[in-house]
Amino acid sequence: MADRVRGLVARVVGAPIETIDDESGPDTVPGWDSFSHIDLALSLEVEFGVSFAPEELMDLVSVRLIKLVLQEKGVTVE
Amino acid sequence: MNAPEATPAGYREAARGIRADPPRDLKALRLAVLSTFTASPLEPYVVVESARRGLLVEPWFGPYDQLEPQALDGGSALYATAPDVIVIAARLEDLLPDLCWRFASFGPEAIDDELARVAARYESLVTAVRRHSAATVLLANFTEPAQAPLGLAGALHEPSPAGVVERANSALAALARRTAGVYVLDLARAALELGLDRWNDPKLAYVARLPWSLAAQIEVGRRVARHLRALTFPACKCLVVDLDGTLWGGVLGEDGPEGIALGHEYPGLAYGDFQRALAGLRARGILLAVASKNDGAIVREVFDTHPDMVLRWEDFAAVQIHWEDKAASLRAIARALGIGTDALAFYDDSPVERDWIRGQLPEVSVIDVPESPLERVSALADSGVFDQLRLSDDDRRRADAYREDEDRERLRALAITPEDFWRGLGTTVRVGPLDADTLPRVTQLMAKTNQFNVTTRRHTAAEIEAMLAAGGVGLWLRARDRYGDYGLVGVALALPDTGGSWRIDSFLLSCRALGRQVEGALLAALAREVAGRGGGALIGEFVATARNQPAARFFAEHRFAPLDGDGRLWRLPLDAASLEPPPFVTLESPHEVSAGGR
Repeated sequence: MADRVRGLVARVVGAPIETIDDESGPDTVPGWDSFSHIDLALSLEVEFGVSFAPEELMDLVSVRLIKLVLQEKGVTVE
Repeated sequence: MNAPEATPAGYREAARGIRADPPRDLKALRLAVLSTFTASPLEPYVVVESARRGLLVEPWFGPYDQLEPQALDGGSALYATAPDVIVIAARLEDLLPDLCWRFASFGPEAIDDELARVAARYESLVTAVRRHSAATVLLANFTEPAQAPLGLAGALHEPSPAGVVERANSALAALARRTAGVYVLDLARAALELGLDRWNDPKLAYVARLPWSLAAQIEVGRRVARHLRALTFPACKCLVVDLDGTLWGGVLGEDGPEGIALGHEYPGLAYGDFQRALAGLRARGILLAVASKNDGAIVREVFDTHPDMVLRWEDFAAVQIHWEDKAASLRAIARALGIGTDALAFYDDSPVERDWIRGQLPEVSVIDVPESPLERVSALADSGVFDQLRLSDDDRRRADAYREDEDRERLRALAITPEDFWRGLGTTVRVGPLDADTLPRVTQLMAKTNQFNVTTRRHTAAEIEAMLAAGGVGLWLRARDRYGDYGLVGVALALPDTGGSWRIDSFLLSCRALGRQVEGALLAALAREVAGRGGGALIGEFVATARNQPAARFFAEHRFAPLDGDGRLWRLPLDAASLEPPPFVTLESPHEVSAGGR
């Protein structure tokens, strides 16, 4: 799953997947702005078959945190 | 280009690919979007769906909820982007929040007032855009609010909330009908198709001020792209269909007329509806033709005797039934109908035949036909190849006009000389000045006439209005003969040049009206109008294209003298002879032109 999350981030913001790691987030990745953030959430929802509450959207601010939220929703990580 | 994965990631990736390395044959178009909500996330869907339809679109999104600040100020960022097309999208919830939320507190007159306010607001937006720009305008119409304000009682309330939305949409449509270059983007229908619950996304509305779900955003991108395609490229004029597995199920040669699937149960019912859909296209003016590898006699038997055939033999304007190559059939059909092969759409259940035509005739629009008979009708609509933003009366008459053409051909066979034929036709043309009523049809004709078109300039309504305002002459021509009325089939535009000469900017005639000396009548009318304004000569210009050979000899055949060696510029002195319409054509009330002109 790790690579699927990183891959989605890379595809949404348009960055090479090698530049995305667990710590990547809006502060470190150029192009991860508020619109990209919404598009990333929508892409994650489709990819993993989950739905984020509005409050959770604010928590998805790094690859690591995205994986945590997904785990809480029962998506198996690694 | 296939549709990407239906996620923002998929579309963003595809949009970046298009920007980084645009396919060479895409036509560039500048799009601007004004909305009462956040619309910029639509960008990748608009870019990708447009590229799938031959367009390289770079959209610009106006600031949040700034319709008037952008549209009314000629110096705004909107106009600085020099858009070709402007979309104006607002939600009724944003324009009339009180009415949407507290519907029950509004009486009929108060509702009238609210609707009048919306209509006036759009009128002023459209008027301002027209003043500051030549852009085509697409008005997104309104979907019903997510919440039913009267609950279960809404449907029988007078007026009903749904009826009020419908009235608001009718007001937008009326504005679009009476304003050249303004069309409706039918989001009401799009939301209906998707379902209102799937269309709206409260989470996105509250978090991002974007009211639409992901599925709705993709669908809006697709709708906008279909409109842009219809604005930019001529719609296909003729649908060529296969028979076995397309008009009916099964193989006629093996199953026999009684054995084919057509009629009372699945899959025959589905094939019946496909035929009804074709009849609907024909009613819109789209020609139907058959290209089938089959035995002609047994096919004719099906048409004549099968009780569940919806389409009649006479519904088809051209028929090619034999065992030869279908590319040859399509060329023959185009030739018989006097249209280019690029005006053909091809619908065949065989992927082999579709690939063959794609390879042999890349200009033909080959429709992707789904395997299942259930999806055959929707595949036809989704292809968008017949999309037109406005249907004119002339469109509706066209299919019958081609039928009348066959009768004309019969008369041509009976006639002894061309002169006898022309005399027998009794062609009458009427010419008049371009005005608001005729401008929509005139721009449509300019957009799609390829063959008899001396310069092939695709002017917008606003450009034509500017030419007329600058002292130009613009004439339309209608023609009829003993077999029928062709409708508005000709346009001429001329502008004053130096030394008493007038330059013909555009001169075109629908191919339906060719071969009857109608073009000579239009030229005579133009000469009279220009002479009436003191002009001494007409300067003709021929800009050769891949398609306008039929117009190549027009100037030479009408007493123009060449001004250069390459056949581009021509001159006609306006003497008495040049003002005379050709024999056998009656030019009706030519004086109306000057009287009614600007």
